[in-house]
Amino acid sequence: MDGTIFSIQRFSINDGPGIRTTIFLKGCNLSCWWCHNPEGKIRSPQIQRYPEKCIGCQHCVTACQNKCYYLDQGGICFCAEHCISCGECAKECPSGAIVLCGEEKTAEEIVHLVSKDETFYEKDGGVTFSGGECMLQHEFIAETMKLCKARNIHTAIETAACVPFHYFEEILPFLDLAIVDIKCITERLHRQHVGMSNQLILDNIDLLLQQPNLTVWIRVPIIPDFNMDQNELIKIAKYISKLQRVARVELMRYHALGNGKLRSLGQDIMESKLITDMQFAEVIEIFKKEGVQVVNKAKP
Amino acid sequence: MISNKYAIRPRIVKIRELYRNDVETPTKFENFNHQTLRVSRAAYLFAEGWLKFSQKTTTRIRRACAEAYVLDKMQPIINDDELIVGCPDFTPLTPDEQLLKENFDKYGPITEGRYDHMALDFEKLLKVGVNGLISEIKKEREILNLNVADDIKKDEFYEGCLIELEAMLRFQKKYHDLALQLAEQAKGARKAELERIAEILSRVPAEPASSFYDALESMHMYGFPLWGLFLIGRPDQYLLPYYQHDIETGLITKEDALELIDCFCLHYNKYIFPRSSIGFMIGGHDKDGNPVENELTELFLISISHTRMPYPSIGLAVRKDTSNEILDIAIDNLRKGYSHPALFNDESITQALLDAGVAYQDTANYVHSACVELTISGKSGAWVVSPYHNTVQILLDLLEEVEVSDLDSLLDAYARRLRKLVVAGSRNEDRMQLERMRNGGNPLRASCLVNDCIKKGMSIDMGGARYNFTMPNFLGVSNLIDSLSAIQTLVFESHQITLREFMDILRDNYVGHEALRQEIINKIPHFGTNEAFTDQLAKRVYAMISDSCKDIPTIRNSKNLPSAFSFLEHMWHGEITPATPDGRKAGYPLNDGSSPVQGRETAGPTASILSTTTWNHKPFIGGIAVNMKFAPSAMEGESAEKMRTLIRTFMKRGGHELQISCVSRDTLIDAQKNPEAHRDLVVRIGGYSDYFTAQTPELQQEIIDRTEHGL
Repeated sequence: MDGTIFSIQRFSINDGPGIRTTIFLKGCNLSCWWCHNPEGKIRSPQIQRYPEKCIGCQHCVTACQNKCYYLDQGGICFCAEHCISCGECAKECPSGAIVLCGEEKTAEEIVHLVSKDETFYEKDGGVTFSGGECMLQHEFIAETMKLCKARNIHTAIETAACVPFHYFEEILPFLDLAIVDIKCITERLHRQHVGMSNQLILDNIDLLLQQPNLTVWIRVPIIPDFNMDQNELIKIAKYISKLQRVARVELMRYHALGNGKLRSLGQDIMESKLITDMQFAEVIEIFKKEGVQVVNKAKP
Repeated sequence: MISNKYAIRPRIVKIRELYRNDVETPTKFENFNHQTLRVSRAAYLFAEGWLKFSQKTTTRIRRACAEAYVLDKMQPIINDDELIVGCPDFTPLTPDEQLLKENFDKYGPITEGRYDHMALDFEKLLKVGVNGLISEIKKEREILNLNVADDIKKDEFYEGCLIELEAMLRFQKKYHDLALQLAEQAKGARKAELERIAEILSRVPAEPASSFYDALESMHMYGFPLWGLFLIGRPDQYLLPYYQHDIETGLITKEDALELIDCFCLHYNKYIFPRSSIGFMIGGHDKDGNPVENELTELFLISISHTRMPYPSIGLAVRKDTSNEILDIAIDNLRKGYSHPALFNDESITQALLDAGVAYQDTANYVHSACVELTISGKSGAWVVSPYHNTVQILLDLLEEVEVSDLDSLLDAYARRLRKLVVAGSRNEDRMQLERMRNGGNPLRASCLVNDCIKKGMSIDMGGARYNFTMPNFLGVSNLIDSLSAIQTLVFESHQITLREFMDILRDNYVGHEALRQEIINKIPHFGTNEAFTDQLAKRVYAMISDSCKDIPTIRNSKNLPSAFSFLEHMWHGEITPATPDGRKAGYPLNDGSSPVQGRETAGPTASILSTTTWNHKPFIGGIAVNMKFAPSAMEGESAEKMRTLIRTFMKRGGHELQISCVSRDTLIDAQKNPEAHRDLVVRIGGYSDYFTAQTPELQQEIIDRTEHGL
């Protein structure tokens, strides 16, 4: 079975313990406006364009069957209307100005790649499946993880967990660590900003925490104009403080680094909202008050 | 954090400022030659001495007299706050003096080849003192039989040594008198300090050292007026007894010792001009094979964060059993952007030295002889980076002449040509050494601290050292590997272009062929991405290089041991190298040391390490350097642990030297302007990764601002 991958990152040091290889799976069922991996939202392949890398060789103009590229006043223009993301342009582009995002890979291919860095994993490190929502490709993950476990490689997922629990059940025998988001507690807020209810997520977290051999980390993205509100943060902190067996809580500070990707996809960029160090320290303080020790992540 | 355990004393801050503002900087580094390593007043005095002693019968004695003359005429200088004293005179030369120095540079005796680059046996100096050296030489001299030709040569050597060593004693006295004089004028705490300094200088370096303070002053007083890259070897081994004695008897505290170390280390920045390299090695193992990791190891590492200067460039010899605590101090320094220590692989280097014929107990004392050249402290006649071979230029020259249609034939032809060039290079070095054997070059008091010069009655230049190495250097090896990969892919495999067409394109510097150049950069396998083809190619190429150095007889019976590192030569050679098949344009720097080509490590640091350790480092005693850059955030907090894993894995795989640096704000600014050279710069955050160069200009700016903040 094939999985749709949009990126593979070796030497991941922020996606679980140790040195890891992170596999980013394409496709997501949520629509968080602050998403920093917008190329991971839809499952099908997409063309990403970086005009500043274009050298004007016009290989794309010749390569495209649907005439998406045309010359205008000496420059190369792109019209997405007829683009079917076939990737012929990316294949012919020598400079990396056009890239096809989204590749089909087999479990064996992934394991081969992951095992290249085995010597760096030691006890803690291993493979992390991220996304997108990696759990939407649960069958592929299960197959890949099984092969990883056969090599004794530590396995982790990063998930928003808004999927039926039986998806998890398929991978649980091979899973060491689940890193799950809690974005907010107030359901209305969740629906408004994420596009879905959070009930399923919170239920799944409860169930994951009951798995005896599974480690669970909680991640909270800190997003201005969404959950960066004292009342909401207290709710989140209180909720987490009542959970049993949470091994670690990480705060992911908002950043606008998805903008380069949005631009490459031809989408509108998001407004950069700054969180000052002082504001962030206050956020940490709120969690502390509720007895939740947090790890401060996401400082580029 | 870690290094803040020991506060920087105010004295160190003051001395640091003084030295930073008062360092002689050559206006144009391009004019660099080994003569300018000498402080210009010392060089001038040497010229004056050379002229004054024109009646001497041999060049070497005349040199020794000129060396002594420098010591006799050099003004002693003691600056405020200094605890370790001894400082070059930076008074600018008058126009007349300048003229004389320039004429001497033109018409004086020849000293071709690599000056210095070796560690002296300071352990011996501390044990016997200059007086001990003098009496040892006198004893040897007494038993000479001047009816024997060899002994006439030895006699000349001994006489020269004595001329210089006796001048050293007068030099010491000058400093002693000055300290005493200043003490009389001084008040309070400084008066006591100066009295202490005078007391110490009444004994060392003439007499053996009896305390840690004595030892450092003795080493500095003997070392700095050599005005060169003479290293102190393994101070955390031979200084330990002095340190322990002083701590146990309550003479000093750990903090006092650190202050003395800081004072000692800062001096390097005063007498070695900027953009050179000098340092010492710590860690590793001792003569009996026990690991060396003690309080001095720790203090020397911490000192880096106190002095925060280019020198000393400290090497840390890392072993499987090196503690996490020591590695963490090292990582903390690197995170803060101090660029030291460089990390050396103790187990693998030890084995490599044994393979090269070094006795086991001497492996305890290897040192990076300035950059990364491995030599044995106090026992080596080093002849480093001699000569430089630009390996990718050799390929270009070869391609002009041969017709080949497959990679094996190309590599065979390359190997034959390389061997010829390496042999010819070695012969040329022989000539330079021959000149030095006859007429000298290094100050003879350096030979007094290199075994077995005194015993043999031969200077370092004559081949008196226990170990003599000639170390040819190979530049642009990664460019060569990538070039071969491009030729294999485009010419031999896909027949996209012919070799002749490719050569024409290179001659035109890729003008009109940017698409091809981009294809080479983006779509063919490169060294450093852990791809099987280029990794295998690297193995073959490096084996070919080390084979090309085997079995070349030399004048000092030294072995040719290859090196593949670069100080600044990759830039200088790059400037004159035409476009190369790996997509590199004419004039662009060659790859740095044994690192992959700039901007080609697109699969990240683990892949890069797997590639750079895929070939056998052991024959490369001449030194290799793998440089890696990380964002500061990849080295702090929990990530520091991961950095340790990276380092230990590099070592486990037989990597010899790893130089980790922190991505600075300047690097990021350069990446904005010159994205091609920084395609591999990754921004890593949890659940996110993308290349820095793919960010919007505004976000790049934001990251740059944060980086500065983070530092």
